[in-house]
Amino acid sequence: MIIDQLRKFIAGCHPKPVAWWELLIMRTLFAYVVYMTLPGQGQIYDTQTVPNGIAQFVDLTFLANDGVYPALKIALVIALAIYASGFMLPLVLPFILISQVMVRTLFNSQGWVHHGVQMVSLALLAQTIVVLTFAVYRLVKGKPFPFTEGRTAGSYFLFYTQMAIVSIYVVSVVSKVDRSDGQWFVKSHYIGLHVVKAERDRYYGKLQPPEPGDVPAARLMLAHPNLTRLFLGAGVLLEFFAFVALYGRGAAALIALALIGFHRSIAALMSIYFHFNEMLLVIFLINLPFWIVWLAKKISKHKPATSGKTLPATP
Amino acid sequence: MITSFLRQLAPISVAIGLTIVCLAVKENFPFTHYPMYSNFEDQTYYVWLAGGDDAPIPVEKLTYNRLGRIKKIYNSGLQEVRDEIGKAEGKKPRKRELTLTQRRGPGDTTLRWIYQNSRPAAQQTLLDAAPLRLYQVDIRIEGNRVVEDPRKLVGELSAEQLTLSP
Repeated sequence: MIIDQLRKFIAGCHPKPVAWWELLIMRTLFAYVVYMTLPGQGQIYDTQTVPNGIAQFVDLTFLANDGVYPALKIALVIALAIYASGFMLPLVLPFILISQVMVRTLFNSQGWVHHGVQMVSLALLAQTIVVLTFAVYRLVKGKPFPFTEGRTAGSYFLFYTQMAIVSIYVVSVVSKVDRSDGQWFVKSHYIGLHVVKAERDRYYGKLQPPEPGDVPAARLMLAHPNLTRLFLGAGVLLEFFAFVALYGRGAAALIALALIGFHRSIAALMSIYFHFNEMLLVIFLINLPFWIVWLAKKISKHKPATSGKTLPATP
Repeated sequence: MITSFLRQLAPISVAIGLTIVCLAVKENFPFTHYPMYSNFEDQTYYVWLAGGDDAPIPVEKLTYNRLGRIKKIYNSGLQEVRDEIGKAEGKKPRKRELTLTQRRGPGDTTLRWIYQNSRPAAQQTLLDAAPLRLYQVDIRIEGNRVVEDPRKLVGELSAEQLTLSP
C-alpha cells in the first residue's frame, strides 16, 4: 500500500496546465527579485581574492572597470522587462542568467560566501534550460513540442522552477546528515550557543541595546535539549519533504507557507534572513493570484440567482 | 509497466540530479551545499571592532558589513594559517589551537579589509578611531549554560598601517 501511495505521488509530480496570466505575474515579480539581487556599485569589487565558481577560470574583475557595471545593469533592466513580457525568452534568459551569475560570483569571491541568492540563480538556470530545450526542439524538428493534457511550455517553466526551489531544501538536509556524521539531531540543541553568538553580533554590529547579557531563548534551548531537538528536527523534516510541493498547487502552497514560517523563526532566533528564498516561495509555490481567482470563481458559482428565474438543475 | 513507471520518474529524477550536483560541486556559485549550521559544536566565537579607546565601534552601522561577514574574512585567514602550518609540520592544527601570534596576521588582514571596503566617510571615521583593534571572544557550553571567555586581541592596526596597500 505504501508502494501504491508512492507510485501515486510520483505519478502526480509532473508539469500541469497553468494560465498565461499566472505566468505573466510570476515573471514580472521574479524579474523584480532578480533585479534586487544585483549588488550596489560599491560591492562590485576589483579583486577576487578567493575565486569562487567560474571566477576560478575567468577574471571577473572587469566588471569593476569604469562604466561596465552601470551599462550591464541598464542592459539587465531591459532584458528583465522583456523577460517579464514573455517574449524572446531563449534570447534574454541566457543573458540574464550569465550576467547575474557573473556579478554574484564576483561578490562571493572575496573570502566569504553569501548564501542568500543561490536559489534565485538556480531558478534562472532551470528556466533557461527549459526555454532553450523547447527552442532547440523547434529548431531541430521544425515544429513546436507536442504538449499533451493541456500543458504548455509555461507548465514546464513553472514546474522546473519549483523543482529548483525545493531541491535546495533537500540539499540542506543531506548536508546536515553528511557533515555531522549523522549526529545533527543529537547535537542540535547546541544551537543555543549560536543564538547567543547572533545576539552578540547584533549588539556589537550596531551597538543597539540590550547590552550583552543573558539570552532567554538560548537559556531555554540549553535547559531543555530534547524539546529543542524536537523543534529543530521538525524543521529538518519539513525541509526534507519540501519536494511534496511538486505534487500540485495545494501541496505547493501549504509547503511554501510552512517553509516561510521556518525562515521567519530562524530570522527571529538567529538574525539570519533568506528574503529571496521567501519571495520565490510566495511567487512560484503559493501563487496568490491563482487562489484569489479560484476563490472568486467558487464564490460566484455558489451565489444565489437574483433574477427571480428558476435555478437550473444541478448537473 | 516498467517503461511507464520510468517515464513517470523522469521529472523527479531531475530534482535528484540537481540535489546531487549541488552536493558534489559544493560551494561554487550558483551551486551550494548549504553547509551553514550543518554541524553544531559546543564552542564557537564572535569578533568585534574597537577603537584606540577600546570602546566598541558599531561596524555594521558604519560600514554596512555585518559581523558575520567580517568573521568569515577572519576565518578564511585562520584557514590559510592552518594550511601553512599543515604543509610545514605535516599536521594541521585545529582553529582553536592557534596561538594569538598565529591569529595576528588574519586579524590585521581583516582590519585592513574592513577599512578598504568602507565608504570614504566611514574610512575617515575609522582612521579617527585608530588604532583599530579586532577582538575575539570564545563562547562555549558548560553543562547547560553558555560561558564566555575574556576577549582576545587578534588584530591591531594604526591609521598609517590601515592606509598601506596589502
